[in-house]
Amino acid sequence: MKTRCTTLAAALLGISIFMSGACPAKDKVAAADEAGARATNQARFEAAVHGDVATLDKLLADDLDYCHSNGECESKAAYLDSFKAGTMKYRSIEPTVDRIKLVGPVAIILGHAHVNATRNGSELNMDIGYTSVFAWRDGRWQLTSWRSLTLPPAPAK
Amino acid sequence: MDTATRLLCLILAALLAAPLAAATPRGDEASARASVLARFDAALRNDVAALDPMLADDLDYCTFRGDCLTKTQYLELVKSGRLKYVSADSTVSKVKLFADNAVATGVATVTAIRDGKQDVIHISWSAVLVWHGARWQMTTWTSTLLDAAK
Repeated sequence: MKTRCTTLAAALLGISIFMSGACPAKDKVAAADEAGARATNQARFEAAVHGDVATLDKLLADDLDYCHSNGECESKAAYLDSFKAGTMKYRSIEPTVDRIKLVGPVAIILGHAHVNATRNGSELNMDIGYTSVFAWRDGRWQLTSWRSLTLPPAPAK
Repeated sequence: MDTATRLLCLILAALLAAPLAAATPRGDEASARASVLARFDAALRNDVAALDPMLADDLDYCTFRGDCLTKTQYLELVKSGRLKYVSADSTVSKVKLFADNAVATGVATVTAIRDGKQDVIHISWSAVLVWHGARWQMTTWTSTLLDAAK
């Protein structure tokens, strides 16, 4: 009896320690750092410019809310469809990152970008401010929320 | 099983359950939704004391104009009367929970007087909330004018 309970105690304690934090799953979260979020943000811009739907598919969360500078919000499927259909075509994106905040399994990136693109036949050549929200899932950062707004053109020097 | 064994197993079960309970998100979707709407109400009343605990110290409050304010700057703007909300009609479209964080999106029609000029704006907005000190606090706010040129 004593032996059985000792074994049970050891097993339960082991599980308890595993669940409380000293476990490999936590180590994975610890690896989800600011540099990783920054790199994913950049990779997403590059995939968009290349029209690389397969890469975008991995970088975007299934529950993505992609809100354009005109306030319209699209799902992941609708956003990817716009690439497949050719209605969204980026020629260049020159992004900068102003700030990154990590809050638990979420990374918030605030930045600016100059975007040159065609969307639904309209030429876009504009400066935007953007907010990317990434969630750490399945061992990688995934974009779950995007919002941009058009900034007024910089005054001529 | 004798009483001592039962007691030992009970203690071990409690030990096992404790981290599970700690891992459960404390703030839920409904409370996150309520928090966003309460923030609109407090802003409408220019109630800086109510706003203060609703905003995280590391708040980035990015307006539809593209300027981003810190918590101190935002509260100062409200306190000074340079920003006065006349009405705010907001709808929360979606709330997504990530452990102790929430991302809310919605739309709003806001009438406000800023630097003496009254405007009625229709915006689409996103807010990121963090569960801290047994309440939701807003850490990021961004909005986009809905009638902006495409």
